[in-house]
Amino acid sequence: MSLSVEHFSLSIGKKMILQDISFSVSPGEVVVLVGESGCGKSMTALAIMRLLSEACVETGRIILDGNDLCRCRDPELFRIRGRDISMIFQEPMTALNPLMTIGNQVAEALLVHCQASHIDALHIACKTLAEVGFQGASDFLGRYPHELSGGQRQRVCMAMAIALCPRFLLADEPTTALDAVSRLHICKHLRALSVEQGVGILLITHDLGFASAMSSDQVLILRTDGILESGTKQSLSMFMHHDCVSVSADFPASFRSSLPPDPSLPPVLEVRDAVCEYVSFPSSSLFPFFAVKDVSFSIRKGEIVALVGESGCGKSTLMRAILGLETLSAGSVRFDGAPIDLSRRKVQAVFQDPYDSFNPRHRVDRLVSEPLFLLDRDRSLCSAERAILVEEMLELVGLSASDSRKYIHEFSGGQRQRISIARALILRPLLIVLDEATSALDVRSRSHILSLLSRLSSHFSMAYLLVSHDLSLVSEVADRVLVMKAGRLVEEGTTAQLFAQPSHPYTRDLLDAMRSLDRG
Amino acid sequence: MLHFFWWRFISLLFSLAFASIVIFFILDTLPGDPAAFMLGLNATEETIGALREKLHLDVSAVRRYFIWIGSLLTGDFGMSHTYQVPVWELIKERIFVSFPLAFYALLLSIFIGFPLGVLAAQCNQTFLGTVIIGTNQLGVSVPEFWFAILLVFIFSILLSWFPSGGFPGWSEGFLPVMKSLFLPAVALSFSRLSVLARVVRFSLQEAMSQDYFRTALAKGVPRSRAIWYHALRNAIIPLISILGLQFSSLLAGAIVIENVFFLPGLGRLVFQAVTQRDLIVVRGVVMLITFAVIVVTFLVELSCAALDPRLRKRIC
Repeated sequence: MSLSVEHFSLSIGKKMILQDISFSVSPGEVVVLVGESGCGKSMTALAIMRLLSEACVETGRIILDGNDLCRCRDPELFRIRGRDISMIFQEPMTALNPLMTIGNQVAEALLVHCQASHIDALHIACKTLAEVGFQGASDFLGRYPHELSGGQRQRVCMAMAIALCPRFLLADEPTTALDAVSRLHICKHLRALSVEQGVGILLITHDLGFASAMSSDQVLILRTDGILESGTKQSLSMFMHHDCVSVSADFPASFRSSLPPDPSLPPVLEVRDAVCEYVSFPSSSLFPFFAVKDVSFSIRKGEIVALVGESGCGKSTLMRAILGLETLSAGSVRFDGAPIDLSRRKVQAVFQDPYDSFNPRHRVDRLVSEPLFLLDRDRSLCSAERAILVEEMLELVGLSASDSRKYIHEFSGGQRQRISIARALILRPLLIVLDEATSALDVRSRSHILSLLSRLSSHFSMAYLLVSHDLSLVSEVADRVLVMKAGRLVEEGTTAQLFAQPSHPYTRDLLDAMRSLDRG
Repeated sequence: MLHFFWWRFISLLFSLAFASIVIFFILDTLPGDPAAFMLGLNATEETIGALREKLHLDVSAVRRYFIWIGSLLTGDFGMSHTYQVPVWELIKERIFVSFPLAFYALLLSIFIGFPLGVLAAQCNQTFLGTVIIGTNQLGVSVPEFWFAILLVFIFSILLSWFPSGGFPGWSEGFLPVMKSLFLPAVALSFSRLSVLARVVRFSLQEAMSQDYFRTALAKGVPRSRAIWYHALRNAIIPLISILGLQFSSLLAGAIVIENVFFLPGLGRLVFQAVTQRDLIVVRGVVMLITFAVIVVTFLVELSCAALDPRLRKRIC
């Protein structure tokens, strides 16, 4: 009655992804699989689901109830998927069909497997959505994926996976897109599934706090060469410890600007009474939905400011408004006293998803040098100067100059994020907006990126606006923290002050959730 | 959705008004006297004067435009100069050839091109897939008139299954009409169904490589249902736009095929009217075709929005 993988190897072309791995998951057990990004964790889960691409060559067996899944034919697999084993995918932004309402997408599994009527299926879907933390789930049934935030979409994916109470659940990074409160919620829910309903869970993550909070029975560490090492909770903490050491070694005490920014300096960024409102039809304009409401703050030169809040609170909208990608309904955003149209090159951005924020058909040199067109015409560079500048930037972020002729698919997630940073740096902007820039990365790449950012900040005295829901990161990095809830700034203060004495109840909730996750 | 509909409907009216202005002023107020142009070199002063009066050339252009629009709205397209019959009578006859032909060709290309594309998307890199892609290449590159002549040679002359040309008229019944329109429709649809099959194949493969398709499979949705409900629905949106364009091009673009098969269609009417300098007919037919194209575009936009909630939102 368990799911076991026996002597499984996988290769694509000449590249060996997994080498002779074996493990098993029993009902009610939580197995954590950790490893650096790009080591084949997700491939393991996809292999169990039998959803690998045809280019993969595999040997070995994957046994469920004495059945070798590798030898199962399609009709059998359709019965097994979703009912016996289901999976939560990593990318909530693309994992949902954009043309179907989320109610229908959750209900579909029930329709396919149980021959339930559509109404019954929707009813169960509604209940499942409520279980994964949608308040007023029935209002959400008719919504489309583009109307939800990343965290909400992730919860929809989770609802889809557990709607049929599967016996085994493969969760591939289920919390990367979520804030601390929702992470705690998902964590509790997964634990309840395993304890109360006896679901066997294979949890793939690079979020070690989350992994240890799941109080897993068995820990597997997948090395980059595709060999699996197994251990217990202690070895996880050792693996964690190893990384924590490297993280803290990379964080010099001086990560924060050593001197408090001079208040007499004019601010780099000034947001005043910003309002973003969405008018939705057919509901009338009497009840407009405010994604951002009356937000004012400023950032001074060289300052690192973090913007935190739960998913769907308007962080991303505010960030997009600052970058001029969203028009404000009221209020103003100014850089160095000028509106965004005139100061485009003083601000650059690094986005959350290192996979989707590059044009796959361009080489790295073109990608990195692209912002240069913002320079004035008389300062434009010839191609040789551009090439030198690009190489300089690549070396600055820890890549080699020869990488400039490669395409983006040749790089791992962490390397791509470095390329994003090189692209943001090439204009020497005054402010870089980082939207969850490290959430898709494993601990090691994350610490590298953060130390890189810290060096660059002190080197060029750049300011950062850090949009994040990772509070432990914020506490280590930021000078000042802005807390956002339901479109408004509810609290603002220096990092030390805010973490020691949060005044708003919502901030306290966030901090409590973070601490209980860290304690495990 | 209702809001979207009205928005699009208003913009449809605007495009119609704009198109009518362009058509009117290009044909009517270009340098030279339209009446003299229509009558040719040997016309006497009196005949030109009479025609000028008939064309309301003695009043200002703006006023003439409104007279024209006013009579269009009551269904009066004017009197053809060469045939001396109302233009609407001419158009009416031709519409019952051109519309069925366009529709026929479109149906053929949908019912053959669509399944071919779906099939090709699924048997990529197999023998069948290669055959389908090869045939499509041929369809795109073979000239229409040559293919039409080939069809006539095989099916009319050698096999005598279908008439080689001409149109019996609707009074002869449904079947003879369908029979006489069959070869022209096949000739028209060959290149179009090839384009369609290529678009279907490409966008379906694209949709099947998306994460949501994988998510559907992971839920235990059978492959056929996943293709039908998840991949095809997403793939069909670019397809609808292509179909709209094809219908528009079929309406007036069938001149060559109409000539090969001696069909009295709209394309031939425009061609004849142009050679006979009958500007009144040209104007009427061009306006009618523009109207049809704008309405088709409107329908395409509505159906895309009905399928894709994101499009609805963008307009609102």
